[in-house]
Amino acid sequence: MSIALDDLERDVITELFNIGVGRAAAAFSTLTKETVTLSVPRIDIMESASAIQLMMTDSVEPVVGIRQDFAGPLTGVAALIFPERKSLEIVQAAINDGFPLDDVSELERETLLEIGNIILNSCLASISDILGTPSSASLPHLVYSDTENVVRDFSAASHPGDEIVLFLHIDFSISRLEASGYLLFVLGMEGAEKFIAAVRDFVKRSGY
Amino acid sequence: MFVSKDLINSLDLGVIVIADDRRISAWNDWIAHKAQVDAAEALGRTLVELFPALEGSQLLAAVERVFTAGLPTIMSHHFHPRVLPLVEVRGRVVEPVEQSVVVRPLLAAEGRGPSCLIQVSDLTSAVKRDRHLRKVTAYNRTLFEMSADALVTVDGDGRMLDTNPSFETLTGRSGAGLRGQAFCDVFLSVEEARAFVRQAFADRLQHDATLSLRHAEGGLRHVLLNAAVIPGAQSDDPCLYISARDISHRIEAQRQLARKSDELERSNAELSAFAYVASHDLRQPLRMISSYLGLIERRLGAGLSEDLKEYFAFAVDGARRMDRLILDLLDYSRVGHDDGRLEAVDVAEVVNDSLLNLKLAIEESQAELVVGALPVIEADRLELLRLFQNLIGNALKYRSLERLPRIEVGYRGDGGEHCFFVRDNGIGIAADQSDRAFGIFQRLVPAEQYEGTGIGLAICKKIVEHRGGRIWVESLPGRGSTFFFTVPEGAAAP
Repeated sequence: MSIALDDLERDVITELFNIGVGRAAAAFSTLTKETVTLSVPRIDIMESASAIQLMMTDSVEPVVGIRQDFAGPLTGVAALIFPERKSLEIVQAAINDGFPLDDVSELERETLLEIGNIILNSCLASISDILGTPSSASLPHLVYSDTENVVRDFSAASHPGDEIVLFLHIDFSISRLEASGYLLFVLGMEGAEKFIAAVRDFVKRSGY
Repeated sequence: MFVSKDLINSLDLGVIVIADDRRISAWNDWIAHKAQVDAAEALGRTLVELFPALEGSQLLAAVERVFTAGLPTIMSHHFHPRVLPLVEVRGRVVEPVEQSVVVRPLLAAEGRGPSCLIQVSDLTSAVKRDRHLRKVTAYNRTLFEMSADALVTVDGDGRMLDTNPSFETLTGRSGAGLRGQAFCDVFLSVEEARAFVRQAFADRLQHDATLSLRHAEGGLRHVLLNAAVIPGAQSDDPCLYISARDISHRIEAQRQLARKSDELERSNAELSAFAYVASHDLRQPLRMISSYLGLIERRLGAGLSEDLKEYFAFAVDGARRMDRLILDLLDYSRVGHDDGRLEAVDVAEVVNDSLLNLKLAIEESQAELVVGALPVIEADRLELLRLFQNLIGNALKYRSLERLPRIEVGYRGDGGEHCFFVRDNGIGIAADQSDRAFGIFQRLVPAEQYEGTGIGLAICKKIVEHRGGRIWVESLPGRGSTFFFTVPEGAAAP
């Protein structure tokens, strides 16, 4: 079975994820009392090495990853990855605080975790919608690393040697801040096949 | 419960378990204590039954997410500072508990459905520390930004990390343009600045180094640098906190003062030399004029008419008066030149000597002299003698024709200085003339009435002021004058 998505399949998944992150954005707006928009412009299934390549062409700064492990019909690692410097700005914008954040305290780290948690939960819910069965997830935690290692570690942790990932760009805007990051779902070959089959089934059922 | 009661009761965080019928199935001691609700009261009830305010809350939404989607929720303190109504009671003080809450699924145990764990951490002390840190940071930042002194922090490589507005004004450069640049490059002598930075890092403290820097728009600024080593903001590597006080005005004023003072000294020296030489050299031709006038008068002998005799007398008198003026000028220019020896001088003796010198004039004018008690002071004896002789001589000279002169010499010790006075009942001086009285060759009365060159008081003033004292006159015209002069105690006295 091919794990390549055709245009229609890609459009449908992108739409579903956008609905998910849209819900996350609404939750954020309530929390921060600011206008928050989130969007997923592009989605792909690829090997993790290709994902690393794509991310490295954007930037080679230190990154922070917010990781949640999921289990159920699909099992793997979900991660939201931001440049570390950008993550500070996001927290600052989210808590609307003029305090200079040279470094983050435990309190800001927790806020960043909650931001990641909301986005990852919304995406996991989107995947569950496609599969028709929910996947449960672990609590999120933070990983400070660089692009290459953070992706390798996540892949190796869930599907060693079988590093197929669902790869999404995510754009973030809060107050006047614009940021973009990556969403990564390490599915493995079997998981990817199961996911694509569900997508094709979904497309058929929906009568696209 | 599937975990021992003892275990969850010994945790230092709040544990609540919600069963799939949404009723509370575990409520540990920590949460019982801070919620002030016993386990017996909480178990078997819903959260909303316990705390009606939770209706429609994010917490209940998170619990539902666990049961419907199996997804956990983190409720951070920033967004949800006090999820549950928890308090810490310390005696009479009741303080709200700042919280961070985690809501997550618990796997279904044998014979039970899935349940939901609510875990509550007490962040009160972390939040307080954070608030304190923010306050301190805001306070320090304000001090830094508002300081009139230029402030800058410099890292171990000598690069500027942070600058305040005063530093930007001092250098004429923007903060963004300064950050990351070499601190020492701002200075005129980069080497001196480097030595200062090196020494400051070595000694951890450096005081009052004066350096010069060039303003971006030209012109030099002189600064007083002070530095202390502080821990870096980003890392633990030490950095330097440097304050630069702009002392350009002070330095410029000092330089100008030194220049002026040099000029003044030179011009004073030239003037003294000029007066001395002129006085000497002027007397020589004058002596020739008087001598030859005398010779011509003698040669003409008896044949001289009465008119011519009178003319010769005028000419000789003119020469004599001019000689007198020159001698006085010489005197005046000498005051303060030969710094006489200071010794303990009995002022009563000095006044007595001056009276002896004026004996003739005193007898002639039938003056009454009253001398009060006078001290022994550190002074130059001859200068003091001239002072008294001049002042008493003036009192005799400018006597009133309507009464016999009465002259009083006295003393009063006056806060750190000796003050002497000579009082007379003479013609007095008009108030608007009293300053002129001390000018050189100033005469307040016509020479025909009172003889003299008008240099006496000028010499007195020069003597007194040379020794750091003051001289002045208080007078009522037609009633008399009192001349005062002071000698600083224990200082360079006359």
